[in-house]
Amino acid sequence: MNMDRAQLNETIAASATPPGTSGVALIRLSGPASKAVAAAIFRPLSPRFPAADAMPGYTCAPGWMIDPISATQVPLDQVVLTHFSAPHSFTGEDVYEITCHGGTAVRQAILDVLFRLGVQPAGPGEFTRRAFLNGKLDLAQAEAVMDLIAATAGKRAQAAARQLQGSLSGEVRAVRTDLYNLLARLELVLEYPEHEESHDAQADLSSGLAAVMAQVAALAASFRQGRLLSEGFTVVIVGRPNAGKSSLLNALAGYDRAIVTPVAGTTRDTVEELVDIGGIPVRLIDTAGLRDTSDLVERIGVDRARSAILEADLILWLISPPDDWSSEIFRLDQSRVDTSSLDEELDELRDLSEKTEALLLVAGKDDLAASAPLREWLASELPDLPLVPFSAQTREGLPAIRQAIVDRYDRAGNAQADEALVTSSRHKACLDKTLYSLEAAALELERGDLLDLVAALVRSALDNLAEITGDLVSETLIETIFNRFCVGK
Amino acid sequence: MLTIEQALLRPGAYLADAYDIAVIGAGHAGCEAALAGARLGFQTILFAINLDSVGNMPCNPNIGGTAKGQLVREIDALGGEMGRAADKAMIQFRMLNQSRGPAVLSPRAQIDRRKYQSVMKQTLEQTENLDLRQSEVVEILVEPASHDPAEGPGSVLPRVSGVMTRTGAIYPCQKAILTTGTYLEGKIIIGSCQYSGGPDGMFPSIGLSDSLRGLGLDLVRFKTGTPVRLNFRTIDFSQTERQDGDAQVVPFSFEHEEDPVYTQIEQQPCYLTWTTPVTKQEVEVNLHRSPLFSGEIEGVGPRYCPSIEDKFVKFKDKERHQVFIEPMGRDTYEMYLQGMSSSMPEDVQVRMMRSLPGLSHAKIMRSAYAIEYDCLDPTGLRLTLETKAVQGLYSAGQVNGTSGYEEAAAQGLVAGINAVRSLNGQTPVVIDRSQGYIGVLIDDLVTKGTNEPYRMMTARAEYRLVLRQDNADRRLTPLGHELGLVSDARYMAYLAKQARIAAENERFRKTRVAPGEKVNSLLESLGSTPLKPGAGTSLADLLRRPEIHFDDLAPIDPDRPGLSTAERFAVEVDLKYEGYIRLEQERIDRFLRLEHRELAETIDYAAITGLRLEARQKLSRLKPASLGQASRISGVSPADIAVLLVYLDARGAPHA
Repeated sequence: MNMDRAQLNETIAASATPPGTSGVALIRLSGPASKAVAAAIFRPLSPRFPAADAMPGYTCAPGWMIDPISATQVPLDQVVLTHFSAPHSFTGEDVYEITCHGGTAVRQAILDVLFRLGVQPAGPGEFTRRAFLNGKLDLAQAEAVMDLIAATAGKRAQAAARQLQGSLSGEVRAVRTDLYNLLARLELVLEYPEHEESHDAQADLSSGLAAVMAQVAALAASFRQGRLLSEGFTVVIVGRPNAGKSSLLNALAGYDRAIVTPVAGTTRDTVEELVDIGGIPVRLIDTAGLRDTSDLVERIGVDRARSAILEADLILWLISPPDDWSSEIFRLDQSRVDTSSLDEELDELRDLSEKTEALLLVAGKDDLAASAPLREWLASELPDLPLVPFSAQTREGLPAIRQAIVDRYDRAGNAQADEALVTSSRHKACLDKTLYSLEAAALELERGDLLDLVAALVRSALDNLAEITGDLVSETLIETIFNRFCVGK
Repeated sequence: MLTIEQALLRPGAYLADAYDIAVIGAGHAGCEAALAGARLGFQTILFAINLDSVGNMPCNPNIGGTAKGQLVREIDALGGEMGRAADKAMIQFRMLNQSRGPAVLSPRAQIDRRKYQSVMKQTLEQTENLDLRQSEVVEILVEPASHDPAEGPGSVLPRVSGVMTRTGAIYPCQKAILTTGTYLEGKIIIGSCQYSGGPDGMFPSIGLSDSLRGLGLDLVRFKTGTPVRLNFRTIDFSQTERQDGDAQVVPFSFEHEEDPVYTQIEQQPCYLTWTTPVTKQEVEVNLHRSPLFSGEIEGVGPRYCPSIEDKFVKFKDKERHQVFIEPMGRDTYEMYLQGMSSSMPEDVQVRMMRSLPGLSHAKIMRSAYAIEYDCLDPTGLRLTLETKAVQGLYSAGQVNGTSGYEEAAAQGLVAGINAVRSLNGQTPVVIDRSQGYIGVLIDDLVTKGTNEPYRMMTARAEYRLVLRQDNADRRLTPLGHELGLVSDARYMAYLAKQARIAAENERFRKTRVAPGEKVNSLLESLGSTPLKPGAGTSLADLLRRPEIHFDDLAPIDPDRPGLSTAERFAVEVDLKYEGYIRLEQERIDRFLRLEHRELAETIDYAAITGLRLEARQKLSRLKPASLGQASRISGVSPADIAVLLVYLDARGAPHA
């Protein structure tokens, strides 16, 4: 991939559809590097369709979004890419619109890839501003644009102020203070090399750096939980093909949402539904059946299911009697039941139960005769896991499942009230960049004593963090140096 | 506000010679300003209250240091005088921050201050078009604002027409450059003893402040201080730590590179000693007698240059402080006591000084003192250092709220250059923040102002990896040549040097190194990973390894040309830091785009919709020259800048 960094810095992206779950979502990419970026992340569905950089203006093509940096290049989503070539686009620049599936996880994954490639998150009113600067709006609209920028920035400032109240603010400030102290020590060494204070300041720089990196990493990691507050409580329905996951989703959602068929592997992608359960916005995610499959599309669905599982706030693991369990056999001799087809699933469940408490076992198809021995068998194999029977036909167990969701939400909410949460993807991008700079600084510190480079990298980490905190590095830095150290003639 | 005609009515007034440029004060700023003006062909007069104080160093006897060393190299690269003069008066050299990276390498020299003064004074005396005059300027004379309707609505600013001295001489001039240092209404403070006085026993400048106020300029009161001077003969150096200069002397001036006259000098040592518990006790017991803490000093002092009483009060837990003993020159026994600046009464000064190891019997030759002085609020200046209130009036140096000889000289040079540009009807010369510390210094001053004497620090520069002492010539000598301050001969030498550096860089990239016993044993001896069989590389890639330096590779690089130390260093830095420098260059490119969007002084910010109130007020008052400068004003937000961008485009202002 050969992309001009300066052009990347001028290329922006953002979700053009509002946050939350929808059928499809639109991500807009605009700027001088958009063509190169689109070509890097888009694989046409078949050779019949052009590569992104070969698309004429005002055409679209189906294909896969991939992460060109990852080794496996697993597709993120199947999308439709639309190209508007400069200057005949909304912004007047080369624009690509990515129509992807509406799930938050999908959209975030695509944006993450764009940002990691160097594309910048769009600022307030940025698309409109570019449209204006490129002459796409007439002069009479200029003042409206200025008002728009002022208003958007004002709103954003309010939102940022709100976000910066409470625990996130405390955490970010702690990180910032630690970074300033670190940088002040570095600068002291560089500014007053003959001063005794600088000898002490030079000690333990790397452990100080490591400590701040851990803080930033923890903050960035809290992004997943932070979405709970801004984008809903996530419940994932997992189970083997044809276990009845779509039926459970539909029962909870209250209408037929996913395609329910008796053919195993029908739900080939994750399906999301935003539902109200006990006053809580719950994102229900139905995953593709968990089974090894050679079908590419289905395999993506399976991979997606596994990643959705790890990000879920609650996992509903649906387990139903295997088809070959006939009631006949049970009546005769329970010990003759062959559980080998469930062994693999049992191992996965044991494994998962060690990783998370947010797991509820749902014994499905409770209307079948084989369900009773299944429940008994599950209770004996997994005695610590809560178990709820469920029947899509009789709706039995539905209230218990809904109550379990509400309980889990309350517990999660209480647990998170004390934690600092990153709730905006802009903040997440800032933290990721901060971390990247600090990692580079640590590397330079390890490589040698070129403190000028280490200082430059720590400073750029602070610059990145300043996109959240909004302060001027140089002013605060000099303040910090002179308040902490006794130097000078 | 006084015109020449009105001034002539005063008793004893007379019309003296006319000049293009009058420079008021012959310190480090004044010398550079006057030399620039005269060398560029304009009749220039340089005033000093006392001609024995020309180019004086009333405080520490050194030039350079972190950030300041970079400034001196930049002054020299532009064709200024400070570097050349310092090289001639150098008595010790140190390159600070060896091994901490090229961006922070900083040359610093101890200077024989009398020698420096005589070198500088003689340079001034020998310069065509330049007259040095002992006299105290007390009035700036102006032509008042014109209200001629033919010149359009509103008034034009008053314009400098001359200066008047205490003895009644009126020198007509077109440009006046204020370089009054710490002389304006100077007040010396030693304990409860206070008197009107300038630095280093000179007379102060009395009355000029009133003239400036009358012109509508805002003045503030700053304070600074200096420690005692001791007699070398009375110091017991056995109780101190001797500090010698570096074996390798690097002259400040690019003209003196590798010249043995300047690299093979006899050096003098400095000495290190420490305060003791007795020193601390003396401060604590006598704190009530310190004018700093009794409220008698109203001026604001610098945080980076605290008095010894400040240090003990502010950092109570620190038991001892470093004190350096530095020679004042080759022909004197006077020693400077760095770290012991004070405004305590004399008896306390004596006891504090004698509490230091090695100084128990030392004799003070000059007392420590604090000095209060008037200076201008630098936000009243343009980036050219011309005042916004009076056309043709420039100011530079400590009177702009800075501290330090190097900061002063840098401003003097810029003010002198811009006075000339204006006389020639040419566009101003502004060095931006990506071109030099000079740019950072001036932009900080006029954009943000300062509430204490401003000292240059490398931490103030955003593009430190690019603003290095070693490449100051690359950054500024082409400009110096274009201006006429750098001679053709020097410029040719500069171009040849850059060509050699570029050729060597290219050769390093192209020369392949095959794995072999000789190569690998060399690499191993340097603690570097040997090359794998079949995995050849280039000289450049080897040099990029942190543990390998240019000279290390000589054994496996028989074809290298003979290059100077500076040239070899440049190749090494260019290759080793290539990635980081490219990243910084990208940041600079983005920075420059806003920097090149000009904002006219006539813009009515109150009428721009979308600007916040605070931004409107600040922009109206400061009248920034560019969008970039506007973005650095505190109280102007990124959203305000976005609004201004749209405003500019709506009016079809040109893109950079």
